[in-house]
Amino acid sequence: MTRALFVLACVLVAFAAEARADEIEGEVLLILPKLKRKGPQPSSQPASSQPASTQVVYLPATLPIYTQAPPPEEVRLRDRGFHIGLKAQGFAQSGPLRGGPGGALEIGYRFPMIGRRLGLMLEPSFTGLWGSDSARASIGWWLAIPLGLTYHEPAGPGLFRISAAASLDLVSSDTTLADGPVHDQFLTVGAAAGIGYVIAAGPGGLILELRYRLLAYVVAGTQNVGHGGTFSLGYSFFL
Amino acid sequence: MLAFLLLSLLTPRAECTVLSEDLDKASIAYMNAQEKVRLGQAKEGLAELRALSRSAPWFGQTQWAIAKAEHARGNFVWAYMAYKRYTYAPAHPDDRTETKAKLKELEKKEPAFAAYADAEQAALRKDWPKTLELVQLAIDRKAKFPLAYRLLGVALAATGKDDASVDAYTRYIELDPDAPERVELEEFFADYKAAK
Repeated sequence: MTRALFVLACVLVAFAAEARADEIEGEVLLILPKLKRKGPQPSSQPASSQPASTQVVYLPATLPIYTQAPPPEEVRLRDRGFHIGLKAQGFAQSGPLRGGPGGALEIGYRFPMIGRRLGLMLEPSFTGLWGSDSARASIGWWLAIPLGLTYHEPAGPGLFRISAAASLDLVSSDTTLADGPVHDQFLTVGAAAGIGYVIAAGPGGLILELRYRLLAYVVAGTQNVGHGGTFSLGYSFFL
Repeated sequence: MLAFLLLSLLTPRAECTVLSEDLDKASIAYMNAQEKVRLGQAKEGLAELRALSRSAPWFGQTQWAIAKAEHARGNFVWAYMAYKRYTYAPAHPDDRTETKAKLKELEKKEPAFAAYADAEQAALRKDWPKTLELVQLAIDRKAKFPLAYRLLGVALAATGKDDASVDAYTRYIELDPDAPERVELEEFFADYKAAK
């Protein structure tokens, strides 16, 4: 009995499949009521006689559209996750080591969630330092390794960006005092916060950024903590 | 390094094959709208896609994008209609297969769609009494289903019930102001009114 029911079910399934295969494909074209007056009558037209403006373009929807047209710059900027950037920067602060030029390498990744707005940033930078007053002349360098978060918001043709990072800083300086030279080296933990703008150019984007940097806590060494500002201009490659 | 950077900036971008200026514009509008949908600005993105479907009805992908976005938002009536309209457009075989699968999925989920699909088959066989019966069933199950009113209009016109057909088409346009046949129907309504 069970076997008979199973066979019957199989037959019904096969029948249903066959019925589905008989489906007619196509669109039901408009049929309009006939107008009860003389003159040309608007009526439904077969698809083949449709005006050119209503013809459908043969394009697969899954085909990336940029094979036909390049996507807008802002879309291109937003779609990229990884970027590696090189920056030239200037640093200035108050104190004996007033600041100087430097360079930075930025490695960033924007997470796919929330439209690739939020990202992670690692930006090692090296800055030369010098300064002098009536009592001394100083020269040195500053290696900073900030690790933090970035937030990118589409604005105009590019992206406005905000960054915040915790930073590990190594500063080395040689100061010439009246009674001789003094070498000093110290390690601090600091913070950095910046605002910037990224605009598409070539295979990547131009970055302009202003950043506030704080050397907050001395881990090793004797120098005072301090703070200053960085202006950087760079170029980032999207990968 | 500086020279490398300058070279990168000055290198012209790869030329792309553009079929026409209109297609170029439509593609960019489509891409922007899709991007908005992807970024969670679905309402704005869908409005742009609908505007694109009006300005460039030949750009079949718009219906696909509308269908996907509406499906994701749970607006099954609009998703079903857009999938249907996409199947009417000549499309890539893979897309057509996927679209059909989506339609079947929605027809299983919603009896009104199943009734509409059967009514459409009856209409393609020109079985108008059966079409009327099934499309009315679809409307009974889902009163705000624009495509069902379109099919009702077709079936009523085919059976000579002119006034009722015009009423059905009017309801269709009311429920779906972005319907691709809107201009054609509105012109017809004006002629029909003048002829009365």
